Amino acid sequence: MIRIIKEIYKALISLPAGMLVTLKYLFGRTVTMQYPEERWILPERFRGRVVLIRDEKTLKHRCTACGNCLRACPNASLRLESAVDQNKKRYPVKFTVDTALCLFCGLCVDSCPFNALKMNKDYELAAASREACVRSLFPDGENDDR
Amino acid sequence: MNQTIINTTEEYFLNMGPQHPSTHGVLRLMLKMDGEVVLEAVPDLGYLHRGFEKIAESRTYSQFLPFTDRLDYVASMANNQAYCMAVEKLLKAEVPPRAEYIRVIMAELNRIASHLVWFGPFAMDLGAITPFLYAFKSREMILDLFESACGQRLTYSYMKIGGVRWDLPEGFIEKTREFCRYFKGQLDDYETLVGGNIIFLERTRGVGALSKEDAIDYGCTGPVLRATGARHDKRKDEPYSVYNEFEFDIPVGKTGDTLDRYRVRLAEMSESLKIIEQALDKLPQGEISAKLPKLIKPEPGEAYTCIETPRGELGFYIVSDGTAKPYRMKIRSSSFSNLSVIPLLCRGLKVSDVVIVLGSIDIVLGDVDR
Repeated sequence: MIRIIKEIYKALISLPAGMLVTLKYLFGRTVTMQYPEERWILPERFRGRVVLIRDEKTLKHRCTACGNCLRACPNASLRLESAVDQNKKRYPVKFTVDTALCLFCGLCVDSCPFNALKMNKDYELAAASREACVRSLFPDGENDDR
Repeated sequence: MNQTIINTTEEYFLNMGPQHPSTHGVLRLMLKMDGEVVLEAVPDLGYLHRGFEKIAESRTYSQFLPFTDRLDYVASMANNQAYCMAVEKLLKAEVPPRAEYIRVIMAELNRIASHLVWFGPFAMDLGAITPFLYAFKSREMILDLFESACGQRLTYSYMKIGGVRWDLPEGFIEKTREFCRYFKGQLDDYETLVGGNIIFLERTRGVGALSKEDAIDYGCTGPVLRATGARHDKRKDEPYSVYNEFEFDIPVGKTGDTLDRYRVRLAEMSESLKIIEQALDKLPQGEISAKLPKLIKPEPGEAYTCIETPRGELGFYIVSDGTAKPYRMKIRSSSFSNLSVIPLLCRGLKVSDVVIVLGSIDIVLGDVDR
């Protein structure tokens, strides 16, 4: 009998104790974010869509179309078409990444011997069709002007 | 009407899943029922099978790393670590001490995050939504730390063969210490909110009790095994990485029921905090990665390593034939073995208890099906 009363007492205590915890958080700081009105501050290393880097001095892409990134990619998501310019140097004409296949691992960036690739902070990559998932590596869709 | 027909009841078949919110993924349970009581429960797997063991045979050693993220996607860091350790064993490569410490910090942070993903939905299985929100609030802080270190929130690919890919970012150590302080208070709140709640205790105590012998027979590892009282933890028994340099306890249960599994996991979180704090104190300076060739070609041979992930023992068995791609890879996942006790545990339970037992086993279907 005493045991039952003890248990009932414990039960009566435990429920308000839990409610006190929630009450504590009720007056705390809000942690939710009103996306898409509010946005995160993404860290430096954020791995979004892979793009080519334009050299600041020469204003040309550093990519020499060597194809190291294509070989490093675990899922064959990169496609490259290259051409040779008047100085007999290779450059990419069409360079695309299929974001439906991309694992966002960054192995292509690691493999590049010329530091010509980076991952930008673009994370809203949903598309209505498979064709729209194939995105150009040239920033803003522009082409190399060689 | 004939009296015998009225009094006869039939056993019937109940299909639970694969699109059931409480099966935590795409698991199908086939239940043979007698009224409310489960007579037999048979898990049906394979809905998330992606053939990673076969994929590994057509990828180079470094290319397979991002795929390990997708095995047990709640604890990717642990998968990365187990895979890298297996390849390092093949290569007989030495990992620099700083990299080992960073790996331990990340793995333990991931253990907390993984247990939080278990804790929240488990309370939700029992009908309490509030703990879920608090658990995910804390987990977000860990994910922010990971994101600052490697740029991703779920599929980290942070470790690489021979070390880690990036050094710790600026302010990481301070933020981790801050998290440790914050999280200690959180654990007390969880205990008041869930562990002390009489409804929770009554629903979980004695439900789905697993004996030590059965747990060992079925190959259970991790908190499911430790809840039965077996003190088995790879971090203590066969210390890998730098775990022998830290002081921590292995929490064990007594009866192996759902409540014990809950208590073991909560205790493990505070043990992980201890390890993280010690590792941050001892963190050495130096290299973060061993010098290895770009294309990794191990000698012909085989290697098996296993580590203690949040769910139990994760092992990678790799056979190399001297080329740049593995000849065969076998992944021993803890979720798969732990799931095999479901038919045993669910016998004689009600459907609502099946949900709890399944939740307490803590399976990740990506890890089960691979």
